[in-house]
Amino acid sequence: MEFLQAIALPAAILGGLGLFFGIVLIIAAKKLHVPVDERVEAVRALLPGANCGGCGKAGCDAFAKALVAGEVPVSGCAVTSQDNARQIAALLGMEFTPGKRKTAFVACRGGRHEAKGLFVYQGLADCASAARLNDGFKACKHGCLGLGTCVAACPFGAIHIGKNGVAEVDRTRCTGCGTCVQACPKGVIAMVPFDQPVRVACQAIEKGVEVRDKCRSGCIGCGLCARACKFDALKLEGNLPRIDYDKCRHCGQCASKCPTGAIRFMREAQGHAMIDERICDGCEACKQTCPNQAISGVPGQLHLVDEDICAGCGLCVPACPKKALSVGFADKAHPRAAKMKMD
Amino acid sequence: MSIGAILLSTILVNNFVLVKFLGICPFLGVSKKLDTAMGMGLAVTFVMGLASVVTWLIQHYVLDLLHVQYLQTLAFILVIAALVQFVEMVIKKTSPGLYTSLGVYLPLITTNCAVLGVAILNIQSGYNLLQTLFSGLGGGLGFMLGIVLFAGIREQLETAPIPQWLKGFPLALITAGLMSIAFLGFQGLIR
Repeated sequence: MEFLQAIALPAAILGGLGLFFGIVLIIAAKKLHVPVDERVEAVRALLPGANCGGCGKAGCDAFAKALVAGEVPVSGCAVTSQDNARQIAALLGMEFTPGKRKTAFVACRGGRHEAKGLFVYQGLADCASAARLNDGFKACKHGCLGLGTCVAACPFGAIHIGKNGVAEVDRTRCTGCGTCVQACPKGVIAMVPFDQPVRVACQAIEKGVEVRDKCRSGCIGCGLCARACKFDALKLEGNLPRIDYDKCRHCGQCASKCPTGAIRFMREAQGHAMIDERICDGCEACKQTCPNQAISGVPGQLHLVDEDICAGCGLCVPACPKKALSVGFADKAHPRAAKMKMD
Repeated sequence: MSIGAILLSTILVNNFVLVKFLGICPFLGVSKKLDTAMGMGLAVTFVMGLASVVTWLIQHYVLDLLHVQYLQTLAFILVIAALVQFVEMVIKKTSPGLYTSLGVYLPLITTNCAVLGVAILNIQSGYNLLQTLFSGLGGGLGFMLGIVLFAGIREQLETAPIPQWLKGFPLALITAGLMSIAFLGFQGLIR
Protein backbone atom coordinates (compact mmCIF):
# COMPACT_ATOMS: atom_id res chain seq x y z
CA MET A 1 0.00 0.00 0.00
CA GLU A 2 2.80 2.35 0.94
CA PHE A 3 4.54 1.47 -2.29
CA LEU A 4 1.45 2.41 -4.23
CA GLN A 5 1.16 5.73 -2.39
CA ALA A 6 4.79 6.67 -2.81
CA ILE A 7 5.60 5.63 -6.36
CA ALA A 8 2.72 4.28 -8.37
CA LEU A 9 0.32 7.14 -7.68
CA PRO A 10 2.57 10.04 -8.67
CA ALA A 11 3.81 8.04 -11.65
CA ALA A 12 0.26 7.42 -12.70
CA ILE A 13 -0.71 11.06 -12.24
CA LEU A 14 2.20 12.42 -14.22
CA GLY A 15 1.88 9.68 -16.81
CA GLY A 16 -1.80 10.43 -17.08
CA LEU A 17 -1.15 14.14 -17.47
CA GLY A 18 1.51 13.45 -20.08
CA LEU A 19 -0.72 11.06 -21.95
CA PHE A 20 -3.61 13.51 -21.83
CA PHE A 21 -1.52 16.39 -23.19
CA GLY A 22 0.06 14.09 -25.76
CA ILE A 23 -3.32 13.07 -27.10
CA VAL A 24 -4.53 16.67 -27.11
CA LEU A 25 -1.43 17.70 -29.05
CA ILE A 26 -1.84 14.87 -31.54
CA ILE A 27 -5.45 15.81 -32.19
CA ALA A 28 -4.52 19.48 -32.40
CA ALA A 29 -1.72 18.73 -34.84
CA LYS A 30 -4.15 16.87 -37.10
CA LYS A 31 -6.96 19.40 -36.83
CA LEU A 32 -4.84 22.49 -36.99
CA HIS A 33 -2.48 21.23 -39.65
CA VAL A 34 -1.42 24.03 -41.97
CA PRO A 35 -0.46 22.72 -45.37
CA VAL A 36 2.98 24.02 -46.30
CA ASP A 37 4.07 23.93 -49.91
CA GLU A 38 6.84 21.33 -50.00
CA ARG A 39 8.52 23.22 -52.78
CA VAL A 40 9.06 26.23 -50.52
CA GLU A 41 11.09 24.14 -48.14
CA ALA A 42 12.99 22.41 -50.92
CA VAL A 43 13.83 25.75 -52.52
CA ARG A 44 14.72 27.22 -49.15
CA ALA A 45 17.19 24.41 -48.57
CA LEU A 46 18.95 25.25 -51.83
CA LEU A 47 19.24 28.95 -51.06
CA PRO A 48 22.34 30.11 -49.21
CA GLY A 49 20.53 30.95 -45.97
CA ALA A 50 22.63 34.02 -45.24
CA ASN A 51 19.53 36.25 -45.09
CA CYS A 52 21.61 39.04 -46.60
CA GLY A 53 18.62 40.81 -48.11
CA GLY A 54 20.42 41.38 -51.39
CA CYS A 55 17.35 40.14 -53.27
CA GLY A 56 15.15 42.81 -51.73
CA LYS A 57 13.10 40.31 -49.72
CA ALA A 58 13.10 40.03 -45.95
CA GLY A 59 15.31 36.95 -46.02
CA CYS A 60 15.84 33.59 -47.65
CA ASP A 61 12.49 32.27 -46.39
CA ALA A 62 10.62 35.16 -47.95
CA PHE A 63 12.62 34.82 -51.16
CA ALA A 64 11.83 31.10 -51.36
CA LYS A 65 8.13 31.86 -51.01
CA ALA A 66 8.30 34.54 -53.69
CA LEU A 67 10.20 32.13 -55.96
CA VAL A 68 7.54 29.44 -55.64
CA ALA A 69 4.83 32.02 -56.21
CA GLY A 70 6.68 32.99 -59.39
CA GLU A 71 7.10 36.62 -58.33
CA VAL A 72 10.87 36.72 -58.76
CA PRO A 73 13.37 35.05 -61.11
CA VAL A 74 15.94 32.56 -59.80
CA SER A 75 18.69 34.99 -60.71
CA GLY A 76 17.18 37.43 -58.17
CA CYS A 77 19.52 35.87 -55.65
CA ALA A 78 23.09 36.69 -56.59
CA VAL A 79 24.48 34.57 -53.80
CA THR A 80 23.15 31.15 -54.82
CA SER A 81 25.76 29.07 -56.60
CA GLN A 82 25.11 28.30 -60.26
CA ASP A 83 24.51 24.64 -59.46
CA ASN A 84 21.90 25.36 -56.82
CA ALA A 85 20.22 27.95 -59.01
CA ARG A 86 19.94 25.39 -61.78
CA GLN A 87 18.43 22.87 -59.34
CA ILE A 88 15.89 25.42 -58.12
CA ALA A 89 14.95 26.28 -61.69
CA ALA A 90 14.48 22.59 -62.48
CA LEU A 91 12.37 22.14 -59.36
CA LEU A 92 10.05 24.97 -60.28
CA GLY A 93 10.08 24.37 -64.01
CA MET A 94 11.53 27.80 -64.61
CA GLU A 95 13.96 29.11 -67.15
CA PHE A 96 17.39 29.81 -65.79
CA THR A 97 19.82 32.02 -67.60
CA PRO A 98 23.04 32.25 -65.65
CA GLY A 99 23.99 35.86 -65.14
CA LYS A 100 27.58 36.94 -65.22
CA ARG A 101 29.06 36.64 -61.77
CA LYS A 102 29.74 40.03 -60.27
CA THR A 103 31.75 40.93 -57.24
CA ALA A 104 32.09 44.10 -55.23
CA PHE A 105 35.04 46.39 -55.81
CA VAL A 106 36.18 49.37 -53.75
CA ALA A 107 36.88 52.10 -56.28
CA CYS A 108 39.42 54.00 -54.23
CA ARG A 109 43.13 53.58 -53.55
CA GLY A 110 43.54 56.73 -51.49
CA GLY A 111 44.92 55.25 -48.29
CA ARG A 112 46.38 57.22 -45.43
CA HIS A 113 49.67 57.72 -47.27
CA GLU A 114 48.11 58.77 -50.55
CA ALA A 115 45.06 60.85 -49.67
CA LYS A 116 45.33 64.05 -47.69
CA GLY A 117 43.31 64.36 -44.52
CA LEU A 118 41.18 67.41 -43.80
CA PHE A 119 40.82 67.08 -40.06
CA VAL A 120 41.21 64.51 -37.32
CA TYR A 121 38.01 62.57 -36.80
CA GLN A 122 37.37 61.23 -33.33
CA GLY A 123 33.71 60.24 -33.46
CA LEU A 124 32.02 56.87 -33.78
CA ALA A 125 33.96 54.28 -35.74
CA ASP A 126 31.37 54.26 -38.47
CA CYS A 127 31.59 55.65 -42.01
CA ALA A 128 27.99 56.88 -42.09
CA SER A 129 28.57 58.93 -38.98
CA ALA A 130 31.90 60.26 -40.25
CA ALA A 131 30.40 61.11 -43.65
CA ARG A 132 27.90 63.44 -41.98
CA LEU A 133 30.72 65.69 -40.80
CA ASN A 134 31.65 67.76 -43.83
CA ASP A 135 31.47 64.64 -46.08
CA GLY A 136 34.18 62.89 -44.13
CA PHE A 137 37.67 63.65 -42.90
CA LYS A 138 39.47 63.19 -46.21
CA ALA A 139 40.25 66.11 -48.48
CA CYS A 140 38.81 64.08 -51.36
CA LYS A 141 35.04 63.88 -51.08
CA HIS A 142 34.84 60.61 -53.01
CA GLY A 143 37.32 58.51 -51.07
CA CYS A 144 36.85 55.43 -48.92
CA LEU A 145 36.79 56.47 -45.24
CA GLY A 146 37.96 53.04 -44.13
CA LEU A 147 36.02 52.91 -40.85
CA GLY A 148 34.57 49.55 -41.74
CA THR A 149 30.85 50.08 -42.20
CA CYS A 150 31.00 47.74 -45.21
CA VAL A 151 33.07 45.22 -43.23
CA ALA A 152 30.32 45.03 -40.62
CA ALA A 153 27.61 44.91 -43.29
CA CYS A 154 29.12 42.06 -45.33
CA PRO A 155 27.31 38.84 -44.36
CA PHE A 156 30.08 36.74 -45.88
CA GLY A 157 33.17 38.23 -44.26
CA ALA A 158 34.59 39.14 -47.65
CA ILE A 159 35.68 42.70 -46.86
CA HIS A 160 38.48 43.88 -44.66
CA ILE A 161 40.24 47.19 -44.11
CA GLY A 162 43.63 47.00 -45.76
CA LYS A 163 46.94 48.18 -44.32
CA ASN A 164 46.58 51.58 -45.94
CA GLY A 165 43.17 52.18 -44.38
CA VAL A 166 41.04 51.50 -47.44
CA ALA A 167 38.48 48.69 -47.62
CA GLU A 168 39.38 45.72 -49.79
CA VAL A 169 37.12 42.99 -51.14
CA ASP A 170 38.21 39.36 -51.22
CA ARG A 171 36.99 38.50 -54.71
CA THR A 172 36.74 34.78 -54.08
CA ARG A 173 34.62 35.19 -50.95
CA CYS A 174 32.38 37.91 -52.36
CA THR A 175 29.04 36.54 -53.54
CA GLY A 176 27.85 39.72 -55.21
CA CYS A 177 24.87 40.29 -52.92
CA GLY A 178 25.39 44.05 -53.02
CA THR A 179 24.83 44.64 -49.29
CA CYS A 180 28.04 46.66 -49.03
CA VAL A 181 27.06 48.87 -51.98
CA GLN A 182 23.98 49.92 -50.01
CA ALA A 183 25.87 50.27 -46.75
CA CYS A 184 28.67 52.53 -48.04
CA PRO A 185 27.74 56.18 -47.43
CA LYS A 186 30.33 57.36 -49.95
CA GLY A 187 29.06 55.18 -52.80
CA VAL A 188 32.61 54.05 -53.41
CA ILE A 189 31.80 50.35 -53.86
CA ALA A 190 30.84 49.16 -57.33
CA MET A 191 29.81 45.78 -58.74
CA VAL A 192 32.32 44.56 -61.33
CA PRO A 193 32.39 41.29 -63.31
CA PHE A 194 34.30 38.60 -61.42
CA ASP A 195 36.81 38.01 -64.22
CA GLN A 196 37.40 41.66 -65.05
CA PRO A 197 41.00 42.39 -64.05
CA VAL A 198 41.14 46.02 -65.20
CA ARG A 199 39.18 48.34 -62.96
CA VAL A 200 38.96 52.08 -62.44
CA ALA A 201 39.79 52.69 -58.80
CA CYS A 202 38.85 56.33 -58.44
CA GLN A 203 35.63 58.28 -58.33
CA ALA A 204 36.99 61.82 -58.15
CA ILE A 205 35.17 63.82 -60.81
CA GLU A 206 37.10 67.04 -60.20
CA LYS A 207 39.71 68.43 -62.58
CA GLY A 208 43.18 66.90 -62.54
CA VAL A 209 44.91 69.74 -60.68
CA GLU A 210 42.36 69.62 -57.92
CA VAL A 211 42.54 65.84 -57.57
CA ARG A 212 46.34 65.83 -57.56
CA ASP A 213 46.22 68.25 -54.64
CA LYS A 214 44.12 65.90 -52.56
CA CYS A 215 45.29 62.42 -53.41
CA ARG A 216 48.32 60.83 -55.02
CA SER A 217 46.29 57.86 -56.28
CA GLY A 218 43.47 59.89 -57.73
CA CYS A 219 42.59 59.98 -61.42
CA ILE A 220 43.78 63.25 -62.94
CA GLY A 221 41.89 62.70 -66.16
CA CYS A 222 45.00 62.83 -68.34
CA GLY A 223 43.55 60.45 -70.91
CA LEU A 224 46.69 58.38 -71.36
CA CYS A 225 44.62 55.28 -70.68
CA ALA A 226 42.09 56.10 -73.39
CA ARG A 227 44.92 56.50 -75.91
CA ALA A 228 46.56 53.28 -74.75
CA CYS A 229 43.43 51.20 -75.27
CA LYS A 230 43.60 49.35 -78.58
CA PHE A 231 40.10 47.97 -78.33
CA ASP A 232 38.10 51.17 -77.98
CA ALA A 233 36.91 49.90 -74.62
CA LEU A 234 38.04 52.80 -72.48
CA LYS A 235 36.79 56.36 -72.80
CA LEU A 236 37.03 59.44 -70.68
CA GLU A 237 33.67 60.55 -69.37
CA GLY A 238 33.97 63.86 -67.62
CA ASN A 239 37.32 63.53 -65.95
CA LEU A 240 37.09 59.83 -65.26
CA PRO A 241 37.88 56.82 -67.47
CA ARG A 242 35.06 54.41 -68.06
CA ILE A 243 35.67 50.82 -69.13
CA ASP A 244 33.23 49.03 -71.38
CA TYR A 245 33.50 45.56 -69.86
CA ASP A 246 32.13 43.90 -72.99
CA LYS A 247 34.83 45.39 -75.18
CA CYS A 248 37.71 45.20 -72.70
CA ARG A 249 40.17 42.47 -73.63
CA HIS A 250 42.04 42.61 -70.33
CA CYS A 251 45.37 43.57 -71.92
CA GLY A 252 46.18 45.96 -69.09
CA GLN A 253 47.79 48.58 -71.31
CA CYS A 254 45.70 51.34 -69.72
CA ALA A 255 46.74 50.34 -66.22
CA SER A 256 50.41 50.30 -67.13
CA LYS A 257 50.16 53.76 -68.72
CA CYS A 258 48.26 55.31 -65.79
CA PRO A 259 50.62 57.71 -64.01
CA THR A 260 48.82 57.62 -60.65
CA GLY A 261 47.67 54.04 -60.39
CA ALA A 262 44.02 55.00 -60.49
CA ILE A 263 43.41 52.13 -62.90
CA ARG A 264 44.01 48.83 -61.22
CA PHE A 265 45.13 45.69 -62.90
CA MET A 266 44.36 42.67 -60.75
CA ARG A 267 46.51 39.88 -62.02
CA GLU A 268 44.64 37.21 -60.05
CA ALA A 269 41.49 37.97 -62.04
CA GLN A 270 43.31 37.66 -65.34
CA GLY A 271 43.30 34.74 -67.73
CA HIS A 272 46.13 34.10 -70.19
CA ALA A 273 46.66 32.61 -73.63
CA MET A 274 46.98 28.84 -73.81
CA ILE A 275 48.40 26.93 -76.76
CA ASP A 276 47.07 23.49 -77.54
CA GLU A 277 50.31 21.53 -77.96
CA ARG A 278 48.65 18.89 -80.11
CA ILE A 279 47.65 21.40 -82.77
CA CYS A 280 50.44 24.04 -82.76
CA ASP A 281 52.81 23.62 -85.68
CA GLY A 282 55.08 26.55 -84.90
CA CYS A 283 53.97 28.93 -87.67
CA GLU A 284 54.91 31.99 -85.56
CA ALA A 285 51.71 33.88 -86.41
CA CYS A 286 50.85 34.30 -82.76
CA LYS A 287 54.35 35.32 -81.78
CA GLN A 288 54.21 38.20 -84.25
CA THR A 289 50.85 39.54 -83.11
CA CYS A 290 51.57 39.49 -79.37
CA PRO A 291 52.06 43.10 -78.18
CA ASN A 292 53.89 41.98 -75.06
CA GLN A 293 56.26 39.41 -76.57
CA ALA A 294 54.83 36.80 -74.25
CA ILE A 295 55.03 33.98 -76.81
CA SER A 296 58.34 32.36 -77.63
CA GLY A 297 59.40 29.48 -79.83
CA VAL A 298 61.48 28.36 -82.79
CA PRO A 299 59.78 28.20 -86.22
CA GLY A 300 58.33 24.77 -86.85
CA GLN A 301 58.24 23.80 -83.20
CA LEU A 302 55.74 24.09 -80.36
CA HIS A 303 55.43 27.67 -79.07
CA LEU A 304 55.10 28.57 -75.42
CA VAL A 305 53.25 31.33 -73.57
CA ASP A 306 54.97 33.04 -70.68
CA GLU A 307 52.04 33.33 -68.26
CA ASP A 308 53.70 36.07 -66.26
CA ILE A 309 54.02 38.36 -69.26
CA CYS A 310 50.83 37.47 -71.12
CA ALA A 311 48.08 39.95 -70.41
CA GLY A 312 45.37 37.71 -71.83
CA CYS A 313 44.31 40.23 -74.48
CA GLY A 314 43.47 37.45 -76.94
CA LEU A 315 44.93 39.15 -80.01
CA CYS A 316 46.78 35.93 -80.82
CA VAL A 317 43.62 33.80 -80.85
CA PRO A 318 42.27 34.91 -84.28
CA ALA A 319 45.83 35.12 -85.63
CA CYS A 320 46.40 31.36 -85.32
CA PRO A 321 45.55 29.60 -88.60
CA LYS A 322 45.21 26.26 -86.80
CA LYS A 323 42.95 27.54 -84.00
CA ALA A 324 45.33 26.23 -81.38
CA LEU A 325 44.98 29.23 -79.08
CA SER A 326 42.49 30.16 -76.42
CA VAL A 327 42.37 32.55 -73.49
CA GLY A 328 41.41 31.26 -70.08
CA PHE A 329 42.65 29.97 -66.80
CA ALA A 330 44.96 26.96 -66.59
CA ASP A 331 43.38 24.50 -64.17
CA LYS A 332 45.65 25.24 -61.27
CA ALA A 333 45.33 28.98 -61.70
CA HIS A 334 41.57 29.00 -62.07
CA PRO A 335 40.40 30.96 -59.06
CA ARG A 336 36.93 29.52 -59.15
CA ALA A 337 38.20 25.97 -59.46
CA ALA A 338 40.51 26.58 -56.52
CA LYS A 339 37.61 27.89 -54.47
CA MET A 340 35.44 24.90 -55.30
CA LYS A 341 38.12 22.60 -53.97
CA MET A 342 38.18 24.60 -50.77
CA ASP A 343 34.44 24.21 -50.36
CA MET B 1 -3.71 42.25 -2.63
CA SER B 2 -5.36 44.52 -5.18
CA ILE B 3 -4.84 44.05 -8.91
CA GLY B 4 -2.99 47.37 -9.19
CA ALA B 5 -0.62 46.42 -6.41
CA ILE B 6 0.06 43.07 -8.07
CA LEU B 7 0.88 44.75 -11.40
CA LEU B 8 3.13 47.31 -9.70
CA SER B 9 4.84 44.55 -7.79
CA THR B 10 5.50 42.23 -10.73
CA ILE B 11 6.45 44.92 -13.25
CA LEU B 12 8.70 47.14 -11.15
CA VAL B 13 9.34 46.05 -7.58
CA ASN B 14 9.80 42.34 -8.13
CA ASN B 15 10.79 42.49 -11.79
CA PHE B 16 11.56 38.94 -12.88
CA VAL B 17 14.80 39.54 -14.71
CA LEU B 18 16.29 42.47 -12.88
CA VAL B 19 15.28 41.70 -9.30
CA LYS B 20 14.55 37.98 -9.17
CA PHE B 21 17.14 37.07 -11.83
CA LEU B 22 14.86 34.64 -13.62
CA GLY B 23 14.79 34.29 -17.41
CA ILE B 24 18.32 35.63 -17.85
CA CYS B 25 18.97 33.39 -20.87
CA PRO B 26 16.55 35.09 -23.31
CA PHE B 27 17.29 38.41 -21.62
CA LEU B 28 20.92 38.21 -22.76
CA GLY B 29 20.36 36.16 -25.89
CA VAL B 30 17.57 38.06 -27.64
CA SER B 31 18.40 41.62 -26.65
CA LYS B 32 20.73 42.64 -29.44
CA LYS B 33 18.03 44.35 -31.46
CA LEU B 34 15.09 46.38 -30.32
CA ASP B 35 12.48 44.72 -32.54
CA THR B 36 13.45 41.13 -31.66
CA ALA B 37 13.47 42.13 -27.97
CA MET B 38 9.96 43.50 -28.45
CA GLY B 39 8.84 40.21 -30.07
CA MET B 40 10.37 38.17 -27.28
CA GLY B 41 8.76 40.41 -24.66
CA LEU B 42 5.35 40.01 -26.26
CA ALA B 43 5.73 36.23 -26.47
CA VAL B 44 6.80 36.00 -22.82
CA THR B 45 3.88 38.17 -21.66
CA PHE B 46 1.47 36.03 -23.63
CA VAL B 47 2.84 32.73 -22.37
CA MET B 48 3.21 33.90 -18.76
CA GLY B 49 -0.40 35.07 -18.57
CA LEU B 50 -1.69 31.87 -20.12
CA ALA B 51 0.57 29.56 -18.12
CA SER B 52 -0.32 31.26 -14.85
CA VAL B 53 -4.00 30.55 -15.34
CA VAL B 54 -3.56 26.97 -16.53
CA THR B 55 -1.08 26.02 -13.81
CA TRP B 56 -3.41 27.55 -11.20
CA LEU B 57 -6.20 25.32 -12.48
CA ILE B 58 -3.92 22.27 -12.47
CA GLN B 59 -2.76 23.04 -8.94
CA HIS B 60 -6.25 23.46 -7.53
CA TYR B 61 -8.17 20.86 -9.48
CA VAL B 62 -5.58 18.13 -9.93
CA LEU B 63 -2.67 18.33 -7.52
CA ASP B 64 -4.58 19.58 -4.47
CA LEU B 65 -7.45 17.14 -4.99
CA LEU B 66 -5.08 14.18 -5.19
CA HIS B 67 -2.84 15.53 -2.38
CA VAL B 68 0.31 15.35 -4.51
CA GLN B 69 1.48 18.96 -4.17
CA TYR B 70 5.08 17.77 -4.25
CA LEU B 71 4.68 16.99 -7.96
CA GLN B 72 4.18 20.71 -8.62
CA THR B 73 7.45 21.49 -10.43
CA LEU B 74 7.32 18.43 -12.64
CA ALA B 75 3.65 18.82 -13.48
CA PHE B 76 4.02 22.54 -14.24
CA ILE B 77 6.92 21.98 -16.64
CA LEU B 78 4.87 19.35 -18.45
CA VAL B 79 1.82 21.59 -18.60
CA ILE B 80 3.65 24.69 -19.76
CA ALA B 81 5.57 22.82 -22.47
CA ALA B 82 2.42 21.17 -23.81
CA LEU B 83 0.50 24.42 -23.58
CA VAL B 84 3.04 26.42 -25.55
CA GLN B 85 3.13 23.76 -28.26
CA PHE B 86 -0.64 23.85 -28.45
CA VAL B 87 -0.81 27.64 -28.56
CA GLU B 88 1.81 27.69 -31.30
CA MET B 89 -0.34 25.40 -33.43
CA VAL B 90 -3.44 27.50 -32.82
CA ILE B 91 -1.66 30.72 -33.74
CA LYS B 92 -0.14 29.13 -36.83
CA LYS B 93 -3.60 28.13 -37.97
CA THR B 94 -5.58 31.21 -37.04
CA SER B 95 -3.16 34.10 -37.39
CA PRO B 96 -0.16 33.68 -39.70
CA GLY B 97 0.82 37.31 -39.11
CA LEU B 98 1.09 36.86 -35.37
CA TYR B 99 2.82 33.52 -35.95
CA THR B 100 5.62 35.04 -38.01
CA SER B 101 6.21 37.73 -35.39
CA LEU B 102 5.90 35.49 -32.31
CA GLY B 103 6.59 32.09 -33.84
CA VAL B 104 10.35 31.98 -33.48
CA TYR B 105 10.24 33.00 -29.85
CA LEU B 106 7.40 30.81 -28.63
CA PRO B 107 9.25 27.47 -28.58
CA LEU B 108 12.21 29.20 -26.95
CA ILE B 109 10.27 29.94 -23.79
CA THR B 110 8.52 26.60 -23.26
CA THR B 111 10.85 25.68 -20.43
CA ASN B 112 11.89 29.16 -19.42
CA CYS B 113 12.53 29.53 -15.70
CA ALA B 114 10.74 32.89 -15.50
CA VAL B 115 7.54 31.26 -16.77
CA LEU B 116 7.85 28.39 -14.32
CA GLY B 117 8.81 30.88 -11.61
CA VAL B 118 5.72 33.00 -12.01
CA ALA B 119 3.52 29.89 -11.93
CA ILE B 120 5.02 28.62 -8.68
CA LEU B 121 5.10 32.05 -7.02
CA ASN B 122 1.41 32.51 -7.78
CA ILE B 123 0.59 29.36 -5.86
CA GLN B 124 2.91 30.27 -3.00
CA SER B 125 1.32 33.71 -2.66
CA GLY B 126 -2.12 32.14 -2.44
CA TYR B 127 -3.61 34.25 -5.25
CA ASN B 128 -7.08 33.63 -6.62
CA LEU B 129 -7.59 33.06 -10.34
CA LEU B 130 -7.96 36.75 -11.29
CA GLN B 131 -4.94 37.78 -9.24
CA THR B 132 -2.99 34.94 -10.82
CA LEU B 133 -3.84 36.14 -14.32
CA PHE B 134 -2.64 39.67 -13.59
CA SER B 135 0.42 38.44 -11.78
CA GLY B 136 1.37 36.46 -14.90
CA LEU B 137 0.67 39.34 -17.28
CA GLY B 138 2.55 41.74 -15.01
CA GLY B 139 5.52 39.41 -14.86
CA GLY B 140 5.60 39.29 -18.64
CA LEU B 141 5.26 43.06 -18.95
CA GLY B 142 8.08 43.47 -16.46
CA PHE B 143 10.22 41.14 -18.56
CA MET B 144 9.32 43.12 -21.67
CA LEU B 145 10.17 46.41 -19.98
CA GLY B 146 13.53 45.04 -18.88
CA ILE B 147 14.50 43.46 -22.19
CA VAL B 148 13.38 46.43 -24.33
CA LEU B 149 15.31 48.93 -22.18
CA PHE B 150 18.29 46.60 -22.26
CA ALA B 151 18.14 46.17 -26.04
CA GLY B 152 17.94 49.95 -26.47
CA ILE B 153 21.06 50.42 -24.38
CA ARG B 154 22.89 47.61 -26.20
CA GLU B 155 22.04 49.10 -29.58
CA GLN B 156 23.51 52.41 -28.46
CA LEU B 157 26.62 50.73 -27.08
CA GLU B 158 27.17 48.91 -30.37
CA THR B 159 28.61 52.03 -32.01
CA ALA B 160 30.44 53.35 -28.95
CA PRO B 161 34.23 53.15 -28.82
CA ILE B 162 34.63 50.17 -26.49
CA PRO B 163 37.87 48.31 -25.75
CA GLN B 164 38.00 44.97 -27.55
CA TRP B 165 37.97 42.90 -24.35
CA LEU B 166 34.73 44.49 -23.15
CA LYS B 167 32.78 44.05 -26.38
CA GLY B 168 29.77 41.74 -26.43
CA PHE B 169 28.80 39.77 -23.35
CA PRO B 170 31.17 41.34 -20.81
CA LEU B 171 29.65 44.75 -21.40
CA ALA B 172 26.14 43.27 -21.64
CA LEU B 173 26.53 41.69 -18.22
CA ILE B 174 27.85 44.89 -16.68
CA THR B 175 24.95 46.80 -18.25
CA ALA B 176 22.46 44.27 -16.88
CA GLY B 177 24.02 44.60 -13.44
CA LEU B 178 23.71 48.39 -13.51
CA MET B 179 20.09 48.14 -14.64
CA SER B 180 19.43 45.72 -11.82
CA ILE B 181 20.86 48.19 -9.31
CA ALA B 182 18.64 50.89 -10.76
CA PHE B 183 15.59 48.68 -10.30
CA LEU B 184 16.58 48.14 -6.66
CA GLY B 185 15.35 51.70 -6.18
CA PHE B 186 11.78 50.40 -6.33
CA GLN B 187 12.33 48.20 -3.30
CA GLY B 188 10.15 49.14 -0.33
CA LEU B 189 7.55 50.72 -2.63
CA ILE B 190 5.40 47.71 -1.98
CA ARG B 191 5.88 44.87 0.40
